[in-house]
Amino acid sequence: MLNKVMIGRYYPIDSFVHKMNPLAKIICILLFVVMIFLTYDFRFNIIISILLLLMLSNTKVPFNVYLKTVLSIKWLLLFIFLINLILGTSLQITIITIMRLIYVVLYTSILTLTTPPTEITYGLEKLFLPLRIIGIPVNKMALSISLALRFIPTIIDQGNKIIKSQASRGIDYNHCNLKGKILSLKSLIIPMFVLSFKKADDLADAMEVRLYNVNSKRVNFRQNRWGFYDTFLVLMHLSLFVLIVREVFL
Amino acid sequence: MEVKFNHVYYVANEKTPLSHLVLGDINITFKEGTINGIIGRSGSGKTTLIELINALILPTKGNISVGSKVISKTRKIKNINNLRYQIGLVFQFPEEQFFCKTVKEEIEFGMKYFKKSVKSIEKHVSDALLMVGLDDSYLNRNPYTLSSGEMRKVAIASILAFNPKIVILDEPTVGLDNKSKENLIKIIRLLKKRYNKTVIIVSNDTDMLLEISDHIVLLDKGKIVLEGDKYDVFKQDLEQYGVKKPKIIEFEQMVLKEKNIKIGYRDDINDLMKDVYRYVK
Repeated sequence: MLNKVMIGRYYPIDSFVHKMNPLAKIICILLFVVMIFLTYDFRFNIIISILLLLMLSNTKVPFNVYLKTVLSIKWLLLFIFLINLILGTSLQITIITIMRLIYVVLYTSILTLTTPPTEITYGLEKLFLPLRIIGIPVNKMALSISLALRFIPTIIDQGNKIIKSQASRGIDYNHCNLKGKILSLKSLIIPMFVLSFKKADDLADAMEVRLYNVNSKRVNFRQNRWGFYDTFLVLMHLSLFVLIVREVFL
Repeated sequence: MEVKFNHVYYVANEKTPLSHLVLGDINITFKEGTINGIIGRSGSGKTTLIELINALILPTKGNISVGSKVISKTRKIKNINNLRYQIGLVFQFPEEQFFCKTVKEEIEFGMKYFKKSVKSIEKHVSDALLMVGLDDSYLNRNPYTLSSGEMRKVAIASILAFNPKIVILDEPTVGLDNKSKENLIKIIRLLKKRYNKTVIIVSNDTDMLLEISDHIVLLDKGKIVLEGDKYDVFKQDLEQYGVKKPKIIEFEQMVLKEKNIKIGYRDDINDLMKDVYRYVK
């Protein structure tokens, strides 16, 4: 049941987007998200769409994976559409709003599909490194992010196990009505909470036993080199970003 | 009730790059009123096999018939609770399924879903607890404060309470002390002899399986390697499949190999005793 959740899953194949430096990918995403929310201009939207399509095709991830990701937010999209209808927003703006949301989800799923969680943390750590000057503990932040990311699949697996063991005791999650579904959630959420806290406690103990120290300096297992494609893509995004900013504000 | 696997295949994470074959061409019959053991190294597909029986997952190819019902990917089962009512499945880590405040509610829970009357529920709860060797003082305790052995017992009780025709146990002896283990063996024997239930046990505790089971299935890499009477299976070379032989059979074979005499034809009983002593020492 929870296997269908595609957001935040790594897709292990070999492509040049997979080989890119995570820091470059994160910078590209930030630029992309900012510039997509800046412009209502038709021409720029087309350029952004082409950029997105290029990136998507270069990841070599099958297209239905992306389709699943978009389908997983279909209710949110419907909700936005209905709210816009009620408020009487023009159809063009509604469509652009929905397109923006889909684009953001697609582009961020490029990051999560092509980068393992540990590498994303590496990228974030490098991105926030300048903040160390004003005394923000970047290391600790990176650690908590990587731990949180590391627990997503564990919790999904845990959820699957609990669903199975409750189903064997008679709860039918799939074939009951809405009221039954809400009631049966209780039997899923309580064990999840208890087990998650237990696991977190165990992890803290295991780290302490192995003398983990947050403040010591860490090195990376995989060396992430900054390559030609990284520079190229960041520059491409940056130039588009500058163009859009100039168009909108000047 | 009989469970029959017909050319069952199961592929995990189908249509993703992580897809792999978990079970391939499984053909087994678990007859009514027998105790069946499933052994094999971890990752050989034992747990998947028992989840298929309960229709928690559906086979990719082939079908499984449980009594008159047939589980397959193409045919949808109309009332799945009817099927699950007849199959009691105890998972490996019972603490995963607890969510009620007291042990009593926990045991009642399954029965409420299977629509039993209130009067019979009360009686069933204390009976089920008694069967697993816990008394009524446990009824009002919080399941999370129990030890792991007691948790397993409560989980087994919550399954036995609704009197299923097929009982499936996933690694039932892990984390149990010797007395509880003996108790569990007694319960399983009782289930077979008095109630004529089909029992399926997934375990690597071959000593226990030799003691109670009738039929053994050995899985390796998702395929059935050996199947049959327990003595026939346990006498084979099991080391290559990552399974330890029962101590009694290991001892018997050791004696045969070293002394070149069959145990049944010994001249002197003292010789055998010496061997036993040496082995135990």
